[in-house]
Amino acid sequence: MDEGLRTVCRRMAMVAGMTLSVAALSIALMLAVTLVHLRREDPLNMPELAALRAAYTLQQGDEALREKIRMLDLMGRRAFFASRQQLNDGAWVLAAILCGALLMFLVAERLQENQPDIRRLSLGGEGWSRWYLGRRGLWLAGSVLLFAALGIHVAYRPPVEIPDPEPAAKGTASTGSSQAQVPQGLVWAGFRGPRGSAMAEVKSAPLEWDGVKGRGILWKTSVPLPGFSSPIVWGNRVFVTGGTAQKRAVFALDATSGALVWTADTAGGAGPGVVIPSTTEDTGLAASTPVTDGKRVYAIFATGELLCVDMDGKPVWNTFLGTPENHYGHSSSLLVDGGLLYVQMDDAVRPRLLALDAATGRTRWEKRRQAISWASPILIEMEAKSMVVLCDSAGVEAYDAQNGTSLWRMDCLGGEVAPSAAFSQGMLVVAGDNAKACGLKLGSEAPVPAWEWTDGLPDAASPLAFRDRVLMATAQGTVILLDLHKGERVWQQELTRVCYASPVLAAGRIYLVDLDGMTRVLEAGDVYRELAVCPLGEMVGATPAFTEGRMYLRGIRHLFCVGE
Amino acid sequence: MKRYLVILLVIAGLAAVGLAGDPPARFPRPDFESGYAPPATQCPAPRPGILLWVDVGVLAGSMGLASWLVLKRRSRGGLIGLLLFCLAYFGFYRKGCVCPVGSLQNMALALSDLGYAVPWAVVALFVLPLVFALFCGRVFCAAVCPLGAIQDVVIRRPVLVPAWLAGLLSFLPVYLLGSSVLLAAGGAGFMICAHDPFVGFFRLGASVPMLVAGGLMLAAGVWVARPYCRFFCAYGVILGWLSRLSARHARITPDSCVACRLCERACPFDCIRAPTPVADPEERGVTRRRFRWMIAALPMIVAAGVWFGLVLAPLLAGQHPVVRLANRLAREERGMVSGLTLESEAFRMSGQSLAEVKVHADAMREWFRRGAMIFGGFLGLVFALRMIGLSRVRSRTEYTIDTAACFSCGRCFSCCPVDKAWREGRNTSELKV
Amino acid sequence: MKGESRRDFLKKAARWSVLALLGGVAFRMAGKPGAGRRSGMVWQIDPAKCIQCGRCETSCVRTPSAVKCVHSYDICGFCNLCGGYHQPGAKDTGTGAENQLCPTDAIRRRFVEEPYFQYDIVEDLCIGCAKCVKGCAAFGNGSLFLQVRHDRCWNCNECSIARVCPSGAISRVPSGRPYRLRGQG
Repeated sequence: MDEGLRTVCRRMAMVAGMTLSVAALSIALMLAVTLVHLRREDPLNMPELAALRAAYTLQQGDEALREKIRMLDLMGRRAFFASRQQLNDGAWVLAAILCGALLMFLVAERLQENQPDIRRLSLGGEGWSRWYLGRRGLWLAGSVLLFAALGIHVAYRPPVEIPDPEPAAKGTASTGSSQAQVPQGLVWAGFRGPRGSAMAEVKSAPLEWDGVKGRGILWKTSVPLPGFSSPIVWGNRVFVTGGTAQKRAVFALDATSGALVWTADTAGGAGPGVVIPSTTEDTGLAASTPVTDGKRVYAIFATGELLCVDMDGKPVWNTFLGTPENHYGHSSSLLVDGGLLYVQMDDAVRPRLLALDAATGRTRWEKRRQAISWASPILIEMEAKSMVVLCDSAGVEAYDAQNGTSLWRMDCLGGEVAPSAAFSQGMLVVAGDNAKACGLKLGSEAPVPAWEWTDGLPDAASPLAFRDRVLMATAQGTVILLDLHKGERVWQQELTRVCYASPVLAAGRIYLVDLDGMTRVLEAGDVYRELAVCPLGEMVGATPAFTEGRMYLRGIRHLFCVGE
Repeated sequence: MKRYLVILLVIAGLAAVGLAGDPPARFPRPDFESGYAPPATQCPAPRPGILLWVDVGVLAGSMGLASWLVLKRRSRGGLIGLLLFCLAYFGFYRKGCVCPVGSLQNMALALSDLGYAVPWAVVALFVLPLVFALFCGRVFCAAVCPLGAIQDVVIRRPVLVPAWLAGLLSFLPVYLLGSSVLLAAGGAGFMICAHDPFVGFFRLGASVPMLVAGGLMLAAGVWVARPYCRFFCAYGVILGWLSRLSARHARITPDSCVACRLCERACPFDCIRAPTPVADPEERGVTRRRFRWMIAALPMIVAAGVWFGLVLAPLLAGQHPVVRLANRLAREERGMVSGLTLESEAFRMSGQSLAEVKVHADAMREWFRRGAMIFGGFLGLVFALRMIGLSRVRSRTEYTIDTAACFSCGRCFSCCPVDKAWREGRNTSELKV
Repeated sequence: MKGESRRDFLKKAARWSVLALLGGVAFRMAGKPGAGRRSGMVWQIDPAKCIQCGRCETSCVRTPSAVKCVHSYDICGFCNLCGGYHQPGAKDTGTGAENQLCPTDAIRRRFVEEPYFQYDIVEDLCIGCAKCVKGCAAFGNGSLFLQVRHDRCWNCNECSIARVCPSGAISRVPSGRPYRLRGQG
């Protein structure tokens, strides 16, 4: 090739290579800008759009708002797909241009005179130099590693260990969390108090009050939404639930003043599919008592909505378990223990017991059950094993609290069962007004039936087992005290008063609240003795909650705090 | 024994999760009156497994061709063509996966994890380049490896890395070999794949840090030839060891060296060793004493390496997802951090207990402690052996190739006058000086 | 010369022993029990473990991600108001943007018969963000779930989503059974 032509060609190739390089650089910059833009703007998740959508859920059918949402959504999607296409195409163009530039440089190099191949710019180490320099480099490498190791050794702090599980606080449904440092006497965590035993761990309880005259009433607050669920207490907070077709919510009240601190409702989290089931007047949509473990409050409604909020009322999770097919309305209460939330969902179509992860709401296990029922689960610890005991239409069944394995079941009931089980001194008492009451002796094996009782049975209120006695408030308005182990009658008293509230033992006395709001305080002895009879002036369907020196009574309209 | 326990625990955990898995069917499937039948879920099949054998075939064929080009034809041009083909095939068409470099980790994982089986084709991908290195030198690096190829095409103005710096940096791949094998075997992930700087180019897109690292590496590669291959590649370390044993290896000259010095600057990777001066650099006694000292120090250096491994062990164990989770959970449980990470949230959803994680994490920490001791001992051993190798005086009378470091790229062929004569069919013995 | 030949012999011996070692390793690998060794392995998501964190959308080496939402029609309830399709709190079941959950309009809704609707995924639009999966898991039957689509997946040696998956839901499965569909065992 002619020398001049060769030079011209080489220069042209160099210039072309340079131009292509510059082009590649600018395209790369452009792509980088697009990428950063796409990352920062995130056109598919614009906060404005989310805000508009939230606004729209409150103003359904607002046409201007709807158009605005559609417009913004379309813009966002267009921007997203356009910039993605741009990135995709740009990468290909960039690759092609880079290849071209490389080719041009190769050509230019080949056209250079006397350059058969590329040459290293500097000369290699002469003679022995690399011999000792290589050794020096290797020593250097070794010392770098050793010094690094020394540095790490000095600076290293071993990671903290996972703490060993604390022994579960006896007698409360608490999970032993660090935030839950509340004295035992100030906790009434769920339906019928500690583990559903209906035995308050308090030293004192109010004896005399009058809700009509306001005597002995510390405060009285109107609950914004109706509900037959019972109040629960954790430290300085009292929680109640209420629900109508429009709104189902948890209310937190200040225990000192009764002031409403926060409200958390199911709206927004409920999602599609929630329908309002028909319920009877004395059940309503909020008959299930909420529960708390000191970290979160859990509440379920007859709609099948299950809500979990933290102690400040901020939603943690919520889920929809499907609308329960229940001709009275779902009314079984929740139980929480050891990080699991137990939910009885015994409806007519798919009766089941669920254990949800308390922190996340995800189902840990689910057990199919027999038929519809209204009883609430209680927690029993036998020989270091926790079991969830739950009555159903045919009997009572115990489940391993950890994995839901059925430990045993006893077919001793029948019909519609609402009272929950009671437990004391190794004896389990179950009752239903269509069948009988049963005393079951629990051991390491299957339970042994000890006695039966058919002469007066409860329909709504659960039996109260304490020491070696069991007390039942029957559907006919009679109160009966039985020997826990033999099932023999100790005394019986005709009151002609119907109780929906379950009797509770507090400070060695029995508290029995009837539908008219009249509370009888009875001596927990083998003779019937009324210590006091206190009116409230309001209908009561909820079981009272007890903390040290106080009693919380929910009437049809108000929540009363009774105390000195 | 402990490992089995861990595996059992993991299986138990999985089973628990599996039981809890599917959400309840809230809405039963309707009975359609119109005779409507829902469509089947479409699931496109993956790339047939047999095509992986095509990759193996292409790999073997390419390496065979490269060996022929290097040893028989001595053709740099042919190697460039093959290199571009392999860059296109293994790089841009196969997106760089699975490659022999990465397969090192699959092998490590398979050796330690009983449950993980490597497909045969991947075993072949791992073994073939090594076998070729044993007989023909690093022909895989010459033209077949896409990572090497993309760096090879950008070499423009190679500079010499000072011998001390090269000695320092060439220990890095040994460290990376040990650590990536340990981490892969321990189930802490494939570090070579995670930090592959070039794969983003083959895929025309990657995370920004990865693209930047790759871009910088390529830019540096204009001057420092093949920086990744020389100072980072773990697989290259093994290839180098085996290449040292190779039956036949690329030679600068097809016949005997005439010591014309023309090839001195030909190698961008500084793999050509010049003849040593006649006089020894120091007294024989000094060399011999150093050599003996180094041999005596070998156990100490290995012991220092083991200590190094012990110090590093918790950091290496911290790469394992379960250990990381346990560390996080411990801080959460003790209230040292607020909120949940996605990982701890997922754990809390899974229904596993904290005690299980603790047992698993402790077992992994113990495994990593032992593994890191072996890793440190290995580092010490390699260090000591290299040092022993550098303690001896070896005199050379010819320009020779460092077979461990040479990529068989063929750049030195064309600058040898003997090669020129051989190519033109002249009698090469005339050139003897 | 003698030293030379001795060195050659040692080299040869070392070479063949290394070859034997490599053969041994390969043999041991080949002899390992494992369903995938003949057919190869591919990556897949276990829907039971997936927590819908959204990393599948962003962590895949491909854009858009090779992970897509998949619909198991067999366990779908064909609801009119769909937790995977509609925004939470949506009161009417229209297909407008104000009611739709999917940010890219990748779910299409088709009337079947009163009151049932069929939902289809348009994979070219789906970005694998798992918003619909979350909705369907919370309010529906869980018939929508994420899967690695093998016509899109490059089957990297180590899946970059698996590396960051918080629940360890992504693992290698034999390429003979490359999907983990819900409602099919």
